[in-house]
Amino acid sequence: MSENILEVQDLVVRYDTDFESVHAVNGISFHLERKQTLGLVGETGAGKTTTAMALMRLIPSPPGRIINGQILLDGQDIMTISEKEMRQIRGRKISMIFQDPMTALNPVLPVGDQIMEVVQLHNKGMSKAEATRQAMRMLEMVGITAERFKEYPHQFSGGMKQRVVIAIALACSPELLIADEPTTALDVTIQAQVLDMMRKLKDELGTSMILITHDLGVVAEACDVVAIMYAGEIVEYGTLEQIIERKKHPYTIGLFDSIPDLDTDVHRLKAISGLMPDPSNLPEGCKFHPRCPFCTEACKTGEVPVAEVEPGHLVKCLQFAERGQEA
Amino acid sequence: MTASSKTMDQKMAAAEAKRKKRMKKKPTTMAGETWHRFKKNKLAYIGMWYLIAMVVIAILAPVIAPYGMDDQNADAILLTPNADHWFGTDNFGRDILSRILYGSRISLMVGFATVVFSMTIGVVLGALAAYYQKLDNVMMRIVDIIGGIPQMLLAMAIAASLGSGLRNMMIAVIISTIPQYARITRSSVLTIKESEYVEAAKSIGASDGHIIFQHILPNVMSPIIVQSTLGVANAIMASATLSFMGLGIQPPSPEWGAMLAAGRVYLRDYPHMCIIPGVALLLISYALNVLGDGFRDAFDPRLKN
Repeated sequence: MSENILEVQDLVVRYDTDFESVHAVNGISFHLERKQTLGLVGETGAGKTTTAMALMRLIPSPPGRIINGQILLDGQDIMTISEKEMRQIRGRKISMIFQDPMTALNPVLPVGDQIMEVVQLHNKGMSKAEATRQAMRMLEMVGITAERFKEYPHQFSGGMKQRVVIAIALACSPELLIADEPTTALDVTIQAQVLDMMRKLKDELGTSMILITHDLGVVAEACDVVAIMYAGEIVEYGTLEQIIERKKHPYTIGLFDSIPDLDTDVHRLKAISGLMPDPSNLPEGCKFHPRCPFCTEACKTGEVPVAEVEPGHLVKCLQFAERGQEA
Repeated sequence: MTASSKTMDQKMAAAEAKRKKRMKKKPTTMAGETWHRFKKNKLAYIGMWYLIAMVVIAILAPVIAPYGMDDQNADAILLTPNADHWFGTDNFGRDILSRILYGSRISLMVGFATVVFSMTIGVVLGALAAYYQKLDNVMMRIVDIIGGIPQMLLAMAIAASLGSGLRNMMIAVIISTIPQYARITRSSVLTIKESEYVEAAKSIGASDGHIIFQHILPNVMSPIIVQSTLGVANAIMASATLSFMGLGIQPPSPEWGAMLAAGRVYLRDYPHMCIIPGVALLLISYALNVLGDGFRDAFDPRLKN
């Protein structure tokens, strides 16, 4: 048992079509300790979901391809194993909660059957009765009475469906749970409930989690470590405290500044000017330079090195790279 | 004041209880709901019972038929419908009612058996083509070639080259109807396989076969059921047509299409020999068509009423 449940090195994912190649994920590295929660934060199109899919090895291919990189799950390199072995891992060691619970459940199967499915897939010898009991336990665990076992997804509300999806994801007590914007499709009151429940279950089962979100409120509530993604790169990486209290990267600062403050009265929300670059045509140099208020000539060319501004706090910005060299 | 309001409350409670009693139990399964919607379509409901009645008649034909299917009676040739022979007799003095009853066995068996085979083959081909992109082009082009030939012409060509008889006729009908099932299945599977719950199934480690059979096919069943109901009518008509032309079942088997062909010569003087098997074909085909329409409406929850 290694200390880190997940280690990702230089992951590169590209979608190649006949007309262009879309650089979705460009050489990201991170690791996740056991029982911790990593928040993957970024705008739409930053490559968050692609990263998650790469971890499951579910990038739609063609056109998607993992060009480079190493993913160690519990010390095992999942890039080199066969598809059959990978199927054994999915659902048992690593599982996923999808963004929209309305579409993540099969409309023609009762919810109980859908929970049983994952139990039976990974416990080949298990009897049907035992699988049913386990599925009912899972339903109770996410706060749905076992009587609703035979009901269909359309008979549940959105929040309840998300609970079912969570029950499916956790049914085999996976070691790593990837939650892809689990609360985005829910309304705010339900969001808090679902997040709370996920945190509780995660602690009970000792699961590590990657929480993909663009909601910084959710990050502050649920994460231990945060990675800020921009245009397929991790631009800043650190503990929750480091990111919130001592954020360094201009993009992170921009993100936090765009949240309205309760105490000050503003007319307009402060936005980061400009748009996310087209991933099939990324700018030279720092990917953020066209929108960066501190952009210099040096930012427009060449690779930007990653600088460690304090232990465990990594920033990908030239300002800090130079200072790091001086120090 | 209080007394009167109390009786009011009681009255309302009683009325409410009565209403609740009248209310049926809400169906909880998808099949239950579909059935509930289906029953509201009276025509389709009648069609279903007609079909069930025909199946029962076909099974019980030897018991309920008043005469044997090829008992010839030289004293009773070409009789119009009367008390002894409800549907009259043909040119050999055979009782047409008995022949119609026996004929229902052949028509229904051919109809259902060919659909089961062509649906199974077509659904598997369509699902594989849609799920595995690499197979798609090759398989669907072959299906297109078969589908490009007019169905009746293809069936005739196959039946003619294989020779007449029940089995060859069924093969002809099966091959000529596979493309419709393959096409319907492929187009439905293409939509369903992009859905998030299929991705979710992949993410819990389900294999391709498991995904196709557990998640995709149950979701594409409704158009296939509708198509196969209409397909039974289609197959019955196709086999009757082949028999009519002499490419299918041979006399003296009491096939409806063959009976029509035999009666053709006497059409001017004894039209009942053609009208009766013709009406039998018409009714079964109409029943299956309204049944198929009923299924289609029942499967579509957007037409809730």
